[in-house]
Amino acid sequence: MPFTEPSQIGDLYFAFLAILFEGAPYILLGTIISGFIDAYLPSNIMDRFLPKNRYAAIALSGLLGAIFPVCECAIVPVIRRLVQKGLPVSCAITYMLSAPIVNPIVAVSTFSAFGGEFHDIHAGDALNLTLSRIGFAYLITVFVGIAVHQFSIKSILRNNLLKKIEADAQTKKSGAVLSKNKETPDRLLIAIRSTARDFLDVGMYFVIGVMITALYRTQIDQGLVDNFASSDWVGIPVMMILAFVLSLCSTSDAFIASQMLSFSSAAKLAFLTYGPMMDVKLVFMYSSVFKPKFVLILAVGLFVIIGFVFIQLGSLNFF
Amino acid sequence: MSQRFIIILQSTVLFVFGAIFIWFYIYGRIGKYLTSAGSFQTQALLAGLFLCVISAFLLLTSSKSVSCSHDHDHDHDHDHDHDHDHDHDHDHDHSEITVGGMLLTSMIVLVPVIISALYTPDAYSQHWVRNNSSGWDKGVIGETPEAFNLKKQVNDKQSTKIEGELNEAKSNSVADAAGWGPYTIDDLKQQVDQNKDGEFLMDVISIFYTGGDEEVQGVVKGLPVETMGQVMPETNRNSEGKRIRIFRLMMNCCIADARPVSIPVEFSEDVPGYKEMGWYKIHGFMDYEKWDEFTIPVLKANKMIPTEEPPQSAFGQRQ
Repeated sequence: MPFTEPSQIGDLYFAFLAILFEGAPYILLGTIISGFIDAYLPSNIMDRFLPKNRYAAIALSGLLGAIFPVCECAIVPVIRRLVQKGLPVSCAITYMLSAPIVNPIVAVSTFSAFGGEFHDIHAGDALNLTLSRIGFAYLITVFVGIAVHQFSIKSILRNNLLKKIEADAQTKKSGAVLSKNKETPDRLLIAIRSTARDFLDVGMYFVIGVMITALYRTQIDQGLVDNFASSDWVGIPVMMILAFVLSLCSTSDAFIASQMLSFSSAAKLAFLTYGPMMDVKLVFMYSSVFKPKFVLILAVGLFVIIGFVFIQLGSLNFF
Repeated sequence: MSQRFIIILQSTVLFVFGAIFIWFYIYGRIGKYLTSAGSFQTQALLAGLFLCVISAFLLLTSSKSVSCSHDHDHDHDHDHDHDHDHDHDHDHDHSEITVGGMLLTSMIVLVPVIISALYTPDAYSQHWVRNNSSGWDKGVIGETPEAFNLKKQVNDKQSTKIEGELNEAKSNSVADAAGWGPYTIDDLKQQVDQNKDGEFLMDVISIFYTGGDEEVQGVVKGLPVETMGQVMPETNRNSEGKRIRIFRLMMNCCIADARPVSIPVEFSEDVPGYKEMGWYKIHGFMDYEKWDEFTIPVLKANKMIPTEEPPQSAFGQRQ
């Protein structure tokens, strides 16, 4: 039984716990995966699986979510570890941004949310919106990946992560070889300790992001946004800002967007594309991997690119 | 020593975190936060259990140092006596977690979580409902969620029967060709229970969504209905002061994405005394009004009885 009566501050606690209960299991899953990657995956293993041509590797990374579907909460610790294990940063960012959208779970939920029926192969709008969401998200993330490829990783990654990568490289250079006689319990211990460390690292940023999101969801009049639906020039940026502060899970955001009929399809798709790539909690979680300046550039860059793409498509009556 | 202290601290944080998840699940409070649709509640329980298991593992192995999964080359030049053991263990992560850093992380993660868990009221206040009531002067926007679509359920349940009738009638209408028969009072009786007085036991959200379907309205209008929900003063089109609002919460994944769905309730005389946000059963007859371009269901009430909050106070949009 709760110990307090409903109140304005109680709303904050209530919403905060709800988002925490929803998101934390995915973060735990991500950190367990990252812990086991740390313990069992040799460095530079990713090089063997990706094409040597970097642009082809980026294009492939954008599709990895279809095989390894991971939501935006779980992907951050996974990416952090994969980068440490040698995944090129441009590929990592492409996978990180695309996987929460370009995956079968999100495709099904988007299709259902917009009223699609699976026995009806001509489910018009729902199919169009679903394919548009996935297709444009893929193209945008590949574009971002290629852009990121032009930068040095020193301007992107946090110093502590750079140090780990350099330490691993030094170790490799100085002749370290994979041990064949190590016992399994050691690796398990490494995996669990890495999981705990990653969970607390990422969890700290997640908690801060969730607090801000809960604050917005409970203390601000949610009807204010309806006043901006009149045109795409205003509606699309407003919907992206809304996606940013609402911090919805990509598996359920389409159910919210589908109820916003005052906004155009282009505005809804901008909401559904920007939100899983960048929101309040993700800003803090990304900060556990990337330099704050890079996170800011990424947030603004994505906002401009996605806004531009969907304003153009909206003006062409594409949807 | 400091390494062991850090591990014990991590273990403690994970245990508290996990225990809160389990506590809310065991006492049935998780249903106030996460929808019963899908596996969100089970995921929360599993996350709690895993966190506790990881915590116990960390605690039990806190004194053990782990070796790195790679061997380091030691053929460097040095001029000291070389009779020491090279098969030493060292921490794998090569990172610099300090006791102070770990304490700060623990505080940021735990303080908001513990305070919220202790002081959450498990319900929203009037303030939140008002902040989310901007759409109460509008009718149905967007698709009717499957869980609240009366017509759709009938179509599913009676598909065989309807199909047979259609074949017999050889109807050429688009609706009939799609497998949709006309909606009748018999359909309603099949899906909605009636109380001993013959009133249809309809939830507020299903009633609200009847406003989006003229065919269903044709059946429901004038019928005796019993519904249940929380009540608030009516602020729209209530010049005579004979109306109140009854609402229920509808959520997608968690209560943080919920919105109150409501209908106006009109009394023929003055509104009887009631407690705002209190739970009531209201008996009356269904009617519909045009509010701008929307059709609004209005319950013409003849009786309002206080009642207990039901175990499932918020409905899931995806049941």
